[in-house]
Amino acid sequence: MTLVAPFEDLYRLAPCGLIVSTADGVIAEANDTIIAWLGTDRESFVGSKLADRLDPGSRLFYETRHAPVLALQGEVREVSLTMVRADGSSLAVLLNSTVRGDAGDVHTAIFDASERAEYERELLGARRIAEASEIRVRVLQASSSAFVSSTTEEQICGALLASATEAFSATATGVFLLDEEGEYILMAGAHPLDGLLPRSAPRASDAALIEEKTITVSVRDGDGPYTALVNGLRQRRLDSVSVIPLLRAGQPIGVLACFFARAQDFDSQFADLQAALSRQAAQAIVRVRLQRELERLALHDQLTGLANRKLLLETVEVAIERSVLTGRPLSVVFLDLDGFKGINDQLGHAVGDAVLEQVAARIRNGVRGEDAVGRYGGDEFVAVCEDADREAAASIADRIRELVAAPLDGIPPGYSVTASVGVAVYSPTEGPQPSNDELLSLADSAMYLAKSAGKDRVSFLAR
Amino acid sequence: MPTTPAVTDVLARNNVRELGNPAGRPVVFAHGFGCSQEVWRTVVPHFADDYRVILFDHVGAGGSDLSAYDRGKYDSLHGYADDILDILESLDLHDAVFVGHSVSTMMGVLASVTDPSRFGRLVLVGPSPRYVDDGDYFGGFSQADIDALLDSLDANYLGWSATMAPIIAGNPDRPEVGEELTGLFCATDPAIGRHFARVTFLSDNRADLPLVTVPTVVLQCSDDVIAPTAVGEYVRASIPGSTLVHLAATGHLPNLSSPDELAAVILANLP
Repeated sequence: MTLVAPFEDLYRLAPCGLIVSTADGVIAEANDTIIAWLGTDRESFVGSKLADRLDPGSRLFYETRHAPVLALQGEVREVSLTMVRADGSSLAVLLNSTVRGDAGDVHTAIFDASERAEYERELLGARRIAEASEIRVRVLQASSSAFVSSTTEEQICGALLASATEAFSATATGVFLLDEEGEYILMAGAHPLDGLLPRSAPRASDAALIEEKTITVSVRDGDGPYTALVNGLRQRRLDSVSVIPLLRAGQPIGVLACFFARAQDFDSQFADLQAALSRQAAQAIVRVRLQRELERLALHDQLTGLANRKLLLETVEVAIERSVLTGRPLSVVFLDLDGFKGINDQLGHAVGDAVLEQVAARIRNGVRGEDAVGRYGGDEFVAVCEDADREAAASIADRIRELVAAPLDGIPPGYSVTASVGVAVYSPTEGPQPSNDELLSLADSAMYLAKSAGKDRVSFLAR
Repeated sequence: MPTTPAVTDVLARNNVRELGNPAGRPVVFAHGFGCSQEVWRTVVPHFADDYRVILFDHVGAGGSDLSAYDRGKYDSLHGYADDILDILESLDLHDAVFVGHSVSTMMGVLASVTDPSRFGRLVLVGPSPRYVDDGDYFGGFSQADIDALLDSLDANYLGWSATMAPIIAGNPDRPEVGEELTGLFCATDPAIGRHFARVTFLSDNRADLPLVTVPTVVLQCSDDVIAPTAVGEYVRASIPGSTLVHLAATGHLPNLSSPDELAAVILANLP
């Protein structure tokens, strides 16, 4: 028996839709299957455009992506599209198309993918959620490890910039910290509106810090308070800026500013990530500042704020090395207060402390700007004067002596202090290199000479 | 201010190709969303004798340098417009004819507003300054439609990746396709494709149109759902002194469906 292939049946009733269309996408021929699936009739289907049978999203995809690839590549496979039935309901399909012949006719096979599409939609939804949280986790992990390993504010601001750039795709991002005068200092990134905002203009960064929330300003904000900012954005071809406060326990630290060139849809995930990043960064900055403060405390005298003995020793050591390298003389001024013990014993430690604070301030006023001053112990102070020969050191020492001897505030009549000052001068061209201890004890010895010669005077010893 | 990168960097970054008559007037073709400079291949021969033809790929598309894809920069059409200016400057083009298709029309508009000095003419094929309807403005799409497109892109994620495989290399019916590795040129990284779709279809450049000073002609296909005639008319009315020419071609891709007509109309509109 010969099997006669029922070709016509196979075509007309194939378990898939079959369509021939022109290069312009006009349907020239279609089998019964697709006409039945779409609930339409041959008269209205043939002669219409395939694109007109797609839902808007699929149509956009079809026109902008599918059609050019098909035209150039000659073939596309397994394209997932949604067709619209005559009754308006959706039909999810997979579509294979091939260009045939010189006229560029397109042969298309269409497969019902309703169930698969349903499943894929769920999968897609789940994947989007997973991707969004994956990005969030990755950004936060990267930033938190960068923050932990940072030892300076600059590093933290750099890490915040990197994370914000990855997370928000902003056209420009800037990290600003407030300095002691309340000025915003750009620490990392860019400030595209630099120089465009008058100082008197209200600042979104101030509002963000005061209101403790993100402030977003866009060029579509007509009569808002930020006219200058809006004009600046326009001038720089930007659409909007999102200013995120960096706060720690309500204390303003700075802001993160993200500038966008296109209108953004700031959703809750965006806001959550912003909040988490800025919280982490603010914490890290506070930690670094505390560390710096601890370091300062470890090397400074708490009462006077001057360098302590440890820092003085380091300073003298560095100064000796520099003196050897430059060939310039170095003078160390050592002073011990005369009459301080009486004040401390008779008027009490509080008065004694006040005297030490005043003396410290006077010594600082007596030295040159670049000289280092420290409290060596008790009522002993040291000034390290680089590039100072005996003559220069003499004028510094004398100035200090005179300043110390002036009447003190808050001290009853009859009490006064003076200074016995010893100066050790090291000239690298004349003698061997001393250690820091040696130079300091030389200055100490010179101070004893001054004390034993009658106090309130200056003595010198050269190395 | 952004600094201009080195010439060789620009040419490699945007996969710039030069064809045609080196002594001719420069004509720069810019491709739209979804493909690459390949969409111009049947249009270009009409210009080869008399014009210096410059083709390029937007960063993220075709043979461009994907490592140059900076999401911040390309989060708006300004980033792409700056690249176009880089190309014009790198090749030191003057009196250039800029032919933009689809979203590239707005990149050309932005570039010409930033620096009109190198442009002689803008030819905008199927322009739309905003795809999403807004009050009285008709763009043709709703926000939900754009979201649906992004869904559609995601649903075809695997298909996009597959086009990167050299499956077309051995297509006996169309050997030229394999030779030109068209599939590779149309390949797009899915993440970049998604981002570019968002930037393309959610941009609003209506306010930039009145700033155009370069002589402009709008070419409008019939039955173009992406850039309907009403939108073409809007662009014509918004760009001072511009003209609008209706093409017999239908749909959004006259460069592929009616390259001869498109080329003839462009040439007829160049003084």
